[in-house]
Amino acid sequence: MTTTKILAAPAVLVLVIAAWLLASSPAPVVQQVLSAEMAPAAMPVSGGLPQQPAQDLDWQALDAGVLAGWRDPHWLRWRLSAPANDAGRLLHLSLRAASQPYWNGQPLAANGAVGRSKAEEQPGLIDIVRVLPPSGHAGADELIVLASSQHQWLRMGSTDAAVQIVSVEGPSVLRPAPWLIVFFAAGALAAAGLYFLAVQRGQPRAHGAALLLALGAVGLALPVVEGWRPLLGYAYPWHGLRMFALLALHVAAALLLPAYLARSFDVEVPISARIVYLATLAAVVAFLPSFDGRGAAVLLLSLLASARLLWRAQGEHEQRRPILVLMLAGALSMPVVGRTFLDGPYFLLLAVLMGFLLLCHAERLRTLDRHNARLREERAQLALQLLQRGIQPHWLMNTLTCLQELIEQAPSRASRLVESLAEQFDRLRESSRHALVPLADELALCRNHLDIVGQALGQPIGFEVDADDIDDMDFLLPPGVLHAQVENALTHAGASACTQQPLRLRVHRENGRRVLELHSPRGHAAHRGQGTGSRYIQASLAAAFPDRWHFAQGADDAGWCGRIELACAS
Amino acid sequence: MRILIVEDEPLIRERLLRMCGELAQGRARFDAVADLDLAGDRLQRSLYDGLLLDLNLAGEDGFELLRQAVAGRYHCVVVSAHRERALQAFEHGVLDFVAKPFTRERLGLALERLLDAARYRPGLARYLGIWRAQGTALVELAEVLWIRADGDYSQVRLLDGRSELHDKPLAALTAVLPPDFVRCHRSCLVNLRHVRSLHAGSGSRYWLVLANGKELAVGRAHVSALRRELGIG
Repeated sequence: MTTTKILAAPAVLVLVIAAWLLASSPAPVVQQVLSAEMAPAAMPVSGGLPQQPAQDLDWQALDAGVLAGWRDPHWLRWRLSAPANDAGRLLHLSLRAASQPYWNGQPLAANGAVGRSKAEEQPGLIDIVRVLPPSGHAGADELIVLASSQHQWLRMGSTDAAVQIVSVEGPSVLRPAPWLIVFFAAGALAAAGLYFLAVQRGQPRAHGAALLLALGAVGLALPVVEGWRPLLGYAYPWHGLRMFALLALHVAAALLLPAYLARSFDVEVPISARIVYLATLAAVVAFLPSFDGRGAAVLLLSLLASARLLWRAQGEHEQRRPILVLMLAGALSMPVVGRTFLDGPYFLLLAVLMGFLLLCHAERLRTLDRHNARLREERAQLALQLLQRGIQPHWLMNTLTCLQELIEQAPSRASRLVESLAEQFDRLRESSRHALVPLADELALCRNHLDIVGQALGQPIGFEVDADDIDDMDFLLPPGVLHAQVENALTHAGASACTQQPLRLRVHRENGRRVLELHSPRGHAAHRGQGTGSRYIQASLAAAFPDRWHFAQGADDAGWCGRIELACAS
Repeated sequence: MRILIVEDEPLIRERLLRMCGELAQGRARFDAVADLDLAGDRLQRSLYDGLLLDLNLAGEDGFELLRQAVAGRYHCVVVSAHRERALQAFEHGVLDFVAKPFTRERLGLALERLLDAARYRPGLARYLGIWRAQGTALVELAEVLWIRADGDYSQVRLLDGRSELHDKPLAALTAVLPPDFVRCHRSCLVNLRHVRSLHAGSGSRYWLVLANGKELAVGRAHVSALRRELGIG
């Protein structure tokens, strides 16, 4: 793992956050808010609504917490500093209400329709922009708004009541540039998700893939829901729904992220720790006063929990470390950046993190795919070798020549030989289809082979099996590993020697390992044990029991001994 | 004529003995042994004219045995399961290659070649096996200038000036040599590839000038055939 790879994801995060900060620098205001006040409006029971507040109104300083509970028509008043230039100004007003603004006593375009009842009110947009007329005087300006929130269905801890006066020529308060960056990151996340799906297509479901995809979906949904207000706007009754959706997405991310990391890096999390984490999340959601506070706390909890999991995980440094760096960077920057973190850097962190996880996961799948392809190829080669060994010319053509002679000399023996040959090819074909076969099947293949050779020779060749346990016959081993040893014995010692000294297989357990010892005549060959048969045995054992096998062969007192040792689970 | 059969499979040995006996119709006597070790004893003790040899030509071991067999004075017919190795076997100088399983007719053809080897040239050999103290050496026939009878043996002269002695008499070698080797004298075969020119001198004396500048006498009876082969007739 190179340092470059570890730093790549955090570096991308730093770049996108820097771009976001640059694009989201606040628009310069041209007038300062000197005071903000509110007062309930006295409404006639019927008829038109008042155009200006009564003289004897009891104004009080604007309190967003108190205002959040007012539904009936009420007045809001802002006094603003005198402008340097009163031409070309824009009013940005954020209220969770239907409103009728008055600028220095002049009515501006209404936002919905203020009403004394739910039926009379027509909900207004949560954020509005109005072009302001010239003041026509040198002093301070006054903005008075008649508002009502009859359609507010969710009582929140505080509400929006904000005014900004900016120049028409300056940048807009609701600038799309930061959101372009956020959506660019979300687009990259979507592309990573599609790549992941494409890589995963047609493969068995990978470790934690569903969690990761769900997390990616959350990462895509969050900026969409968050960007709904600044980019599209909505009538204020939708605001509660949007806040619930955001909280739900934050909680989902806080559950999915640690769950995926624990699954992906095989970290065992005790039940008690899971319960504590879930209880803390529930407490945060239930008891913290504001949605922003809940979102921030949930996020911080998930980042800290994920960092803790990654700290405990073993191995896989290439993927673990960049994620850990991202987690810590997010967790540390939250207290520094504060509420702003939720407005942009959070999505960016999530997008970069999700993108990195998806790409890592896809890479893992590709590696697994390559590994499986190599295993398939290895398996196919071994199956081919098994079949080729079963029809190797020296044995097959000699047997057919013997058959020719038997047809002329002893047709009934010829017929039996044909049956044995058919059975042998059938067994070979069946064995070559499996990576592992029961010992009993392998023994049947060997016995049938010896039977054929014995028929050609006119003398039977014995094959004795000594197993400690009857269950040993069901033990699985790669096809052909005993058959290859039998062939070697016939080739090197000669079939005649094998008629004098039967082959003997001993199956037993030794120090938790399964041992198969095949004793056969030695023969006079100058060298034995480096041929294709031995290579086939070694390759088959290595493919079926990686790092859990041992094969040795050599001369012993009575002849030749091939010994296979396999680590067994039980 | 005596022919030795070397075959380890008893049934096939029986088949070869039975069929050869029937096909030869008394023109040859056949003995059979199970392996080359036993065959070596027999060959040392008795004089055989031909060898019917079963070889597993799957690896280099089989060809080493084949090289030893074809270096001997007797002709060699290989009976093998490895039919894909037939061409290589011919290049090593075997008289015929019978693939297993074989029919009576195919074995008959091989036996005819063995019994009347002189009628069946040219051969396909690319190498000659030469007995040496250390074992059998292979000499590439393209490197041979000429081969001359030397009693019951044949003297082989190479391009680099070396001479080797082959166990086969010249008549037996003729059966396996490729068409490049043409008789230029009663007791000599020349490799046409290395002939530079044919000269005639006074008194109907003819000689060849070879690639190494050396001269080789040409018998009068072989001049016209030699001209034909050289494309100057």
